Amino acid sequence: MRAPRWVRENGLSLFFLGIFLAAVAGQAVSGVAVFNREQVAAGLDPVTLGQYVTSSAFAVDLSENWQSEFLQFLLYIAATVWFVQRGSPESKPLDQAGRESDEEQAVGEHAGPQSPPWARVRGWRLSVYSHSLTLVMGSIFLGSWFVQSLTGAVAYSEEQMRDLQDPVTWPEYLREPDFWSRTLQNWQSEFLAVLSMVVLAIYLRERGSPESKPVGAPHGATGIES
Amino acid sequence: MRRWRIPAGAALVAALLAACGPGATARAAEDVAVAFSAAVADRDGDAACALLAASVAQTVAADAEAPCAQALSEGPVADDLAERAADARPEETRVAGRQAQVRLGSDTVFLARSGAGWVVTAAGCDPRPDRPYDCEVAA
Repeated sequence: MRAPRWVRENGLSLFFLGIFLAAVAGQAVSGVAVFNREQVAAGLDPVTLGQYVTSSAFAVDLSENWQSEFLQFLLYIAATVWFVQRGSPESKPLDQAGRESDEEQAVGEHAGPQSPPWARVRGWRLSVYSHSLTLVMGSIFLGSWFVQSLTGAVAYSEEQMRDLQDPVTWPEYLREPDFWSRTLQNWQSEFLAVLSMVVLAIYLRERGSPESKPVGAPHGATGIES
Repeated sequence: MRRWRIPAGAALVAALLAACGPGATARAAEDVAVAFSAAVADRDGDAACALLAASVAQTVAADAEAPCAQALSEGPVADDLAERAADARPEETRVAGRQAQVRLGSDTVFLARSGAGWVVTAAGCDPRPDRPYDCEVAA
């Protein structure tokens, strides 16, 4: 039996939505088990799954990973406008660095009948739409980072009091090594992953993947995807 | 008396509630700390031990080599706690998630949420620079 056409045409989104939800559920179930082990060891009642997923401990773990992922894609989208990499399918051709011409971008009078409405008009709408992807990714990054700072302050204060130390306020937490350690340990792994993708894809291939050059493409070929 | 509270959970809710001043959760933690202080002031060991986390009550009994209720109604620990309780009045309550700290005059009490209420995890605590509080009663 074949999957419905709608499912086939949206398979990539559905696949990632499915594994995202499964991973979050797994994180919640394993996280509450760890949390309750500590509760019982301290002679306290265990918490329910519902209490755990609305706790700062869960929220900070979730948001610190979200912010770094959205930062990764934000930087990837923005940096590839200006920076190129010889031989990488993730790069534009070496002579096309920059914003490109209106004709190449098919905006304004160069827009086609199928172009999005805001790509056809001059003015603020074209400016906003021209950067809409980075605006939204950047907003989600900043929002997630802000939530990480708030929930991190609560989670850190909980740990402090559990260890019989004073809690901290949110402004104090922003100066705590814990906040920057949580932030930077996520950033470094994202930056390394992008670097690996850009460089490894020069020499290595995955047949059929649009993220790879065709298997037979020369290593020096830039800006070619399957 | 100052109370602040950032409840566990959604960050926006946390920010809103923190901005709205004292919450029922902070008040509940404060009430337990005050009740513990009143119990040790009255040398009511049973009442004081009933407010302790189970692991703390066990440690108190083990350290005193006597039942918890006896350790908190007579002896040096009970004397120190009763002395601190003499000028106990809530000055500041700080709650973060499932942990709380209540300052009561010359005493600082730490609490944790357990089930529907709060239990005392440490009492008779004095601050030390760059180190955890030094507490008469703790796990």
